[in-house]
Amino acid sequence: MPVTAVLTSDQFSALPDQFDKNGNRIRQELISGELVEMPPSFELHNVVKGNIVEVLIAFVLAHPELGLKVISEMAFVVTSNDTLVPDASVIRKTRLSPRKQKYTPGSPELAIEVVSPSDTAIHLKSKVDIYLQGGPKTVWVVFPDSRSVVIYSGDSSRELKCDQSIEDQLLPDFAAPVSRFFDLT
Amino acid sequence: MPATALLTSEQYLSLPEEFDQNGNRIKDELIGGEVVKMPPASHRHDRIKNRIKRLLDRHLDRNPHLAMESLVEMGAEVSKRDVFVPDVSLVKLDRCPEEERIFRGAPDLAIEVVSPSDTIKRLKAKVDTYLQGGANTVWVVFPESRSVTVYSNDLVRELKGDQTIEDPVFPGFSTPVSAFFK
Repeated sequence: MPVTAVLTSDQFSALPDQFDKNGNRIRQELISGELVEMPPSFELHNVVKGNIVEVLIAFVLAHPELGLKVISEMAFVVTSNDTLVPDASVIRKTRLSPRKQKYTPGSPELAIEVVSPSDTAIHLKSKVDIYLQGGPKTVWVVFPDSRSVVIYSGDSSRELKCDQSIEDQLLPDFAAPVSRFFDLT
Repeated sequence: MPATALLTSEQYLSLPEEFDQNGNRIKDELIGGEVVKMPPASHRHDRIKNRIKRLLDRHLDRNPHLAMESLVEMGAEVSKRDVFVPDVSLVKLDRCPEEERIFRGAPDLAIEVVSPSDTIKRLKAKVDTYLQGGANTVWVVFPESRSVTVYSNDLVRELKGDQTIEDPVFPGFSTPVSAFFK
């Protein structure tokens, strides 16, 4: 691992955008002060993410009283050295202030990370730990290959597969079979 | 990802050993039929591995009736497409191979110390395969966060600091997780 200076979230936020030779913006996260590139995701990753977002959006639209919003790939300044971009997140609308802040401070209520082949175990572990430090939050880590979801909340975690139902205290009455996330048809 | 033919564990085990330019054997594993190189481990990785082995051995020495043995980097043919080298493993004595260089089946307890190059996808595949192959428990040890994630069937538990790690497969063993990282 190259020895690079540790960046703060403020420094990260002030960095100019970088582009690859095709003119596409290089996406990055800041994990424990380290810049980590987010390579373009595979089709499998995007379809699974799309499935999850569809299910969650349908739920929050049917329950406007919860005041929740589902957002893809939004940057959260979780600590002074961590700016993370979950694949999808569920956040209380009252925390959003899009004309005033560049990135959202704190962890989302629910962060969803769909695992990519290039994700290292250490970075993923760090991200889960960092999201959870920010209070009573939940993280879903979604494994497209094993078609399973590991749910982290506080000190507890469990793995759900196949027709097991995924639920979350943030989303009362929400229930979806995990297999729905991995429907590729 | 290069499109390479997937190997069976039998094909993999019949491959000649490879050596790097310094004459050191190149270590690899077969994960889902794919040969995956294992870069040399850091000193910290080795230290943690050895410490865990010592803690397990201390308990084994005091409890010979458990009839188990701890192994370091013993290759295990976990399925027809998987040959793993757990950093440390714990197996019942009557399953220990005296002559063979490979252990058949999953160890009763497999312990993997995470390296910076490990992808979560491969690590998860290994954990799933160990459990499907009959392992009772897998401990995944994170040196950076000084924590251990314990997988058994559908249960995932994370232990840190003074939380004690115990295992039904290893009765009586109980140590704070921090002892792994001293």
